[in-house]
Amino acid sequence: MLKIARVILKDFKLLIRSRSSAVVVLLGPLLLMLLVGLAFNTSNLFDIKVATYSSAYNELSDSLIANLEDNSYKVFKIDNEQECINSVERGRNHVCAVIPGDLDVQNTEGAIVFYVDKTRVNIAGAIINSLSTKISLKSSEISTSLTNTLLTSLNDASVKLNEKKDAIRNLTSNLVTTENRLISLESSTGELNTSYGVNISDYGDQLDDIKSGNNLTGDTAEDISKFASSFKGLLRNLEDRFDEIQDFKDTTNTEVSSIKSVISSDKEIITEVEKIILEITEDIDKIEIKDVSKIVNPITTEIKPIVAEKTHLGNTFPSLLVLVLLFSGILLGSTMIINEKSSPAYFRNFITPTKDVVFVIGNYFSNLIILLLQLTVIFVVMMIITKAVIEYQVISNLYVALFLIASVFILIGTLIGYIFKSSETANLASMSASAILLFFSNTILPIETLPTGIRQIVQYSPFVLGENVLRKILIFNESLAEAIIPLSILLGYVIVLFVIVYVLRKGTKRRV
Amino acid sequence: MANIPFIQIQGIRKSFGKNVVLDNIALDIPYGEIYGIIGKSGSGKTTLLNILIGFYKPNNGAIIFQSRNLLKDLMNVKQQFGFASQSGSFYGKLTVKENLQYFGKMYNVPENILEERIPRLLKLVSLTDAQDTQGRRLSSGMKKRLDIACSLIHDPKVLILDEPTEDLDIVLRRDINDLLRKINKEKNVTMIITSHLLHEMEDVCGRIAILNQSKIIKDGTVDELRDSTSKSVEVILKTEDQKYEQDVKSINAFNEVKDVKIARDKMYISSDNPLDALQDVIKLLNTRKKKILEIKINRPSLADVFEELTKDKVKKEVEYVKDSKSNIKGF
Repeated sequence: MLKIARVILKDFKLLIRSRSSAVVVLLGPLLLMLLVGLAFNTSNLFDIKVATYSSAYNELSDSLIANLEDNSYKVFKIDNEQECINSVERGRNHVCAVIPGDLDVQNTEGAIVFYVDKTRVNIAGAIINSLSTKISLKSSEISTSLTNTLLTSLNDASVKLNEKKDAIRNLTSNLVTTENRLISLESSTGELNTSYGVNISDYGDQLDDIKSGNNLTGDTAEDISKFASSFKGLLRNLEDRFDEIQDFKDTTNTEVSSIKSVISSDKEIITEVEKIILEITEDIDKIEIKDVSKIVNPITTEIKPIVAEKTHLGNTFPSLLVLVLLFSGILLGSTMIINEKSSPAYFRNFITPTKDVVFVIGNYFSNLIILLLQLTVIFVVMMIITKAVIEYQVISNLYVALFLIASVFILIGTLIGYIFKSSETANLASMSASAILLFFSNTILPIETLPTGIRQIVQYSPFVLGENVLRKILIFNESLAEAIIPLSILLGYVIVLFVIVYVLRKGTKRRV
Repeated sequence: MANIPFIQIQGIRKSFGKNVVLDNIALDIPYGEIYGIIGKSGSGKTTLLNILIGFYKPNNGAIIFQSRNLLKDLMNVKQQFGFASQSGSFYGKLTVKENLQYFGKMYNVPENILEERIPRLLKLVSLTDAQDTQGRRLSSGMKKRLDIACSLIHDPKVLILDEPTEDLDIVLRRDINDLLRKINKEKNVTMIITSHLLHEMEDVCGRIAILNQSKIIKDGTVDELRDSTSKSVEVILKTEDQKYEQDVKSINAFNEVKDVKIARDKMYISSDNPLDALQDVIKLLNTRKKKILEIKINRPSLADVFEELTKDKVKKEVEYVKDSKSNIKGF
């Protein structure tokens, strides 16, 4: 155990007494954590640039744009639809929103089309979600307004119908009463007695007998007397019947009059109800949007990719290439220099009449050739797997870009190699530098998640620049002229790094 | 030819921070000479060589080579001077021939000349059979020879060797020294060698400078250096009877004899005039009928000279070495 402790103590002493090792080993990870922590301690997106185009903006489209514009989104109106789409391709804007002219909720034809760069896999989804949320907010607002109008109409109808509820109830009651009365009248009519209580034929026979007898004997007198009596009875009955009929007539007249009055009253109620219904119908007719889908989703959107959708591998291929260049370039660059420095022959190179710049250029090209060979292998494999055919022009553009990107990473690696003495320290520094460049790129998290200040620096990171250039060339088939700015910045890096490496190489002479 | 000053080192001063490593160094190195610079570890030998090959710039002074100040024409220094370092400066993973081809190119040797020169050089350093062997797979002696070959690839007029026999066994040391003499003779290359193996320097070098505490304290031929010492020549004598007590008293009485000692089976006689002293001693022993088995004359060695010249400075030297070491910085 004591021996192990002694070994550990020795290792710590060696580490601490080697200043650069101590700095890299102890402070490297802390610095990395600090930078990454500061940069990514947020879940927001910043400065998403939305380009909009509409043949005719109106109140609705302007309010929609106003809704988009906030801390995260910056909206730019562009005069031409193709230019709007192209601006996304060129990375100047993240989204292009093509809004139908005179945007109208009733217009069933045009949806708002968002052109998004889906090749930026890790941000396209986030932007689409975020935009959808913003649009759906406005859509909900309109939907609420439409639903509100609908509900107001219904409410008004309800109030009006409620107001007439008693009248309708009275109408019902009146109709029931009228019905009862009519039933009663019908019953009374049925009860009306129309029989005379005598047989008319009998009176006829008797009269025949009287006529035949003509001698008005006792019996005849008796018969006449009986006839007279019976006739009187008949007349009385008739009289009674007529009285009853008169009474019935009076009653019926009264009833009919009463029913007429009720019906007249009911007609008024019906007229009022009809009026209310008319009003309600008019209110409903006033509602312009009655299509259920329009009420539920008044603004329709459509997401379109700016280029034909590819596989995730196709979309991430530019990042993959830069990643290979990053790690291979930095590690290879630093390792080669460390090997060179630790070689006893390093000293002899200094005493030859060969200028330092020759060695710097020689080392740089050695690394470059290895990296370009690696990349060629990757291309060949990719082309075999994906069966893709890349045009000669694209390949030549690609190699120009790869040459610059690789140069930057190689020179960063070379610089690390010249700064640090031991291979362990140089490897750790190389890994740390690679990790920082990787974290502050679009590969793991989009740089739009970084706070503005950091993002403004990070957008000039060689990794980010390289990724952008390769995306332009590989995905959008753009020419080198389209990527002239990032390419120029990369060239600037190459020149500056080359000068620094040259100075450092001269400086290492003291330590040989 | 050997006495023509080929390289003149004039007033060279070099310091690292406050630590003065070389102070007013002045030397004349004749053409075709094998010139030795001796000194203790940290005395500034390697720094002086590094200045000579243009690797370090001195704070003051000049190095005149063929009437030109080399410090103002470093590319010329590099083209005219070859250097073989202590540790061997070549690529271990390149073959012997590849190393020569590479450094030949770095020394601006045209391809056709290189193709013709490499076999000759390989023959000179006896590495022809190993030309396709990687440097790391060579033996210690071969590595040293490859390093010397690398330093000769551009056909320099001056070859500088920093402790060329360091870390080699006695046989290999002798081989390397033979090689150096051969190169000096065949190629007529002026050589500057540093070493602390003083007896070898005596054998190889025509002239030697002693560097101590940042300064050249003595330079000259080996004989001149020996003559400069106060130490006497020692005559060592062995007789058959090995009984020297009575002889010591008699010999001590001789004018030419400074001191007589007996150690083990021999008698050690110190004298400033050893030949006269030896004649007197031989006469005495003959008179006493003693049979002489062995006579050896030991002149003061370079080590003796060096020790004498530097012994009063040992204390300061220790401090100096400490300072030098503390000056070594790095990552």
